[in-house]
Amino acid sequence: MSVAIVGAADLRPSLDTGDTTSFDLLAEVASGLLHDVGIEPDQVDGLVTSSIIEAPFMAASVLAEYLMLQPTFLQHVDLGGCTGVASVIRAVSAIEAGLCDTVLVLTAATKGIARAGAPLGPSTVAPGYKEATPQGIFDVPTGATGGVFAYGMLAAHTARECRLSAADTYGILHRARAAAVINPAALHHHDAVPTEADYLASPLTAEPLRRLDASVSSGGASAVLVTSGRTAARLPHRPVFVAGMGEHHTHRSITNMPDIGASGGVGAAARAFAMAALSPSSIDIAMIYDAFTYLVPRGLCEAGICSAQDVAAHLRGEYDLVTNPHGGQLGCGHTGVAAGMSLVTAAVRQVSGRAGATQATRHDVAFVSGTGGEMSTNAALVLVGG
Amino acid sequence: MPSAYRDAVNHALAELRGGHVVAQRWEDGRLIFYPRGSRLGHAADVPSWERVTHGTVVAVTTMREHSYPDHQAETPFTLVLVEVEDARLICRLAASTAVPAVGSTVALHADVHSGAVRIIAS
Repeated sequence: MSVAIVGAADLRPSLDTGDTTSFDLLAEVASGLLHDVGIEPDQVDGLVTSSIIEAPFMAASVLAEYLMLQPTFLQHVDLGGCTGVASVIRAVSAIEAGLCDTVLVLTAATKGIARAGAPLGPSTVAPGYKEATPQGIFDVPTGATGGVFAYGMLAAHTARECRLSAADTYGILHRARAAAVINPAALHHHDAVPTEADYLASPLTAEPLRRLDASVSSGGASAVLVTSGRTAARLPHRPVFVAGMGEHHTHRSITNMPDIGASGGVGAAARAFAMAALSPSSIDIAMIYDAFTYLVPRGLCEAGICSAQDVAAHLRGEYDLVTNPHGGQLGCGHTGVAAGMSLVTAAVRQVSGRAGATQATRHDVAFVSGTGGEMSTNAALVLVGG
Repeated sequence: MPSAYRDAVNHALAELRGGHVVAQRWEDGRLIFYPRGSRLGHAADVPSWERVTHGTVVAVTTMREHSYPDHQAETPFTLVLVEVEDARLICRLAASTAVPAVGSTVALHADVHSGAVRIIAS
């Protein structure tokens, strides 16, 4: 594979983006990214974006016009938390198909407005959804809205299968928040790391989930620049080649999840590793989608990186693999549809050796997962340094 | 909620899915499922609706607040993912009913007005 990610940028997550629009965030993160990579806007011929709350119709076209781009490849991706990883896959595919050479992949979410692509919440059920979709007809009338109920069910299953204790899930939170303290770009950079007593006193939300098991909703933006290997060779930073990609989308509502013990993340990861001709044991860094603590062990197991029997030991640091060294969403904040992309940007920084205080010692191969909805949409990347 | 239109859609979905049970409707306060493996659209293969009043618990959670995407307090209620035939559905536990264990059998009741299915015994 000869397509690489040559730059990554994020805006620091914020609990209040005020009057800032999604377009402001997208333009700011794009500008910073292009400046860092040393590419002029007229060299960009592809644009991929997530949903934009202010542009519910033809979002990608509206954004291209806003940025004064006239790309030969234009795509809007709406796959919830899987959007970031899936957007990269679409950019790579377009370049390999010869549709374009250099793709700007942008995601952003404001805080304080119902976010497009987020799981359904009591205040975010779209008109007609309740009458026209299986989830609206069969789930919503019971109060099964907002996604957290499904993650409660999934967490209970994960805890049982992986024999996780409260100390184990607190450990996941602790590592994420401790990483945030050394990561100046993290939402929780200035916050004290919660103690185990804080965690155990945290209110239950959807049992067994506690409030502190959830990442904190915030506004922000994340972006990457994807280009051909030929162009990447002329750019300043170590290229991060997309060696493997995979997706598997199995359902929307947990009601129709084929197996509550295995999401489409299993197939997505398997495809990505097969394409890269690498095994899960060969990666240095795992970036696991962690909207909730329980998704970390779940994601590691579904990727084939460890088993249900050894994942708890894995999380206690008894293995070499580095997982979410920047703090993940639990440490950096959950920036809506940009949250999944923030794992891609963190992986790119790691592999290119530009991760600052959170830089892992071994950083040649990274795995990135994304999942959206109720583990409904799933995508995975294997990234290799050039 | 139940309507001739939705029944028609359910028929079409079931046919699309090769007869696998995912379509359902409510009638006389009971859940009605397509028989496993029936091929709707081929009338001879559809002997009758099958009435189902029990299911097996796949997963359980008690909701106390929505923490995601935003905090919202709730009056606690329990949601149960139940497997009936080869379909699954979310049910709400009736207030006076004990929280069922995963793998246990529960009795179901459908509210034809709201469309919500409740577990009335576990």
